[in-house]
Amino acid sequence: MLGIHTAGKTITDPPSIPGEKRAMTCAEFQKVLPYIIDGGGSEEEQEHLRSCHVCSDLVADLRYIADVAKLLLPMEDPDPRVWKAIEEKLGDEPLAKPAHRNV
Amino acid sequence: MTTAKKILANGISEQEAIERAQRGDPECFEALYGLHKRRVYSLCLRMTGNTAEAEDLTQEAFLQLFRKIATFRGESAFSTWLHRLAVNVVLMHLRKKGLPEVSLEESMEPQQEDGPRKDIGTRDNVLAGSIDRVNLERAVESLPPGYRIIFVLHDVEGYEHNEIAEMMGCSIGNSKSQLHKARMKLRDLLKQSKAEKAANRR
Repeated sequence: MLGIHTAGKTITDPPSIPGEKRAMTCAEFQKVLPYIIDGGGSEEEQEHLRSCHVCSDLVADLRYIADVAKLLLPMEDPDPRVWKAIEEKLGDEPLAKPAHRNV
Repeated sequence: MTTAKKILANGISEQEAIERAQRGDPECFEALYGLHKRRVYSLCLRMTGNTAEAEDLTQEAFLQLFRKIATFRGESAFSTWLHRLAVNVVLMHLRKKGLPEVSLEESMEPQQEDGPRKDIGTRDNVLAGSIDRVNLERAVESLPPGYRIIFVLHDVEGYEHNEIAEMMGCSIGNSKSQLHKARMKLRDLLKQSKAEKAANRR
């Protein structure tokens, strides 16, 4: 489930004091996370990330997945039949006659 | 020795092979195929998850390359030009199949969950250091196609969101949102796999 992750307590708004800004909740942070994870974010969002271990662990996981993805190398060669099919089609077109060699 | 290696072993650079291919030299067509087939095929395979489709799309990408090679002017690297062509071939194929794409409506949907999910997060549950390329490849294969495409384009192939948005016909915001969902889904799959391995070791 692509849920909102929070520390294990019931989410309620803390009692508000007139003039005092309520701290950002995990739900609010995770709602904007897609748009700030690769950079940016307001001071409030950065502060939540610094102070909330659940959200910071989540961000660490997502960035780690992105980092490992960069290491995914090209996987394998296509079957030789792919080139054979290309050769045949090129032979029918006014480009060039391909040589019949193994790639 | 393959044709590609022979051509390059004879001191012909890739640039020269491109120029000769533009003039219709068949050995140079083959050399360029040999040089780039793996990356193009891997892209097609990751984006479709299907060997037969990936082979067909690889074939189509190279046929289009050879038909259009005379128009390559060198404004970008040849590999970049070919890569973008291959991505467009795959996307056209997926659109014809009617696979779900990012849509404006998706970004307007309410959260599917009723409220915040209550997790106990501890340091022991972080993924860092616990996954390798094999695990991740398997997890990517399991992603739904719409998520897989965005993840492959951004995190694997390195396209920026503005480029993906242009290719997919969506907004940059939608591209970011879909990527986030793809990564969250992968996180769930990888944690599940990690937990299963730990259970099997007991």
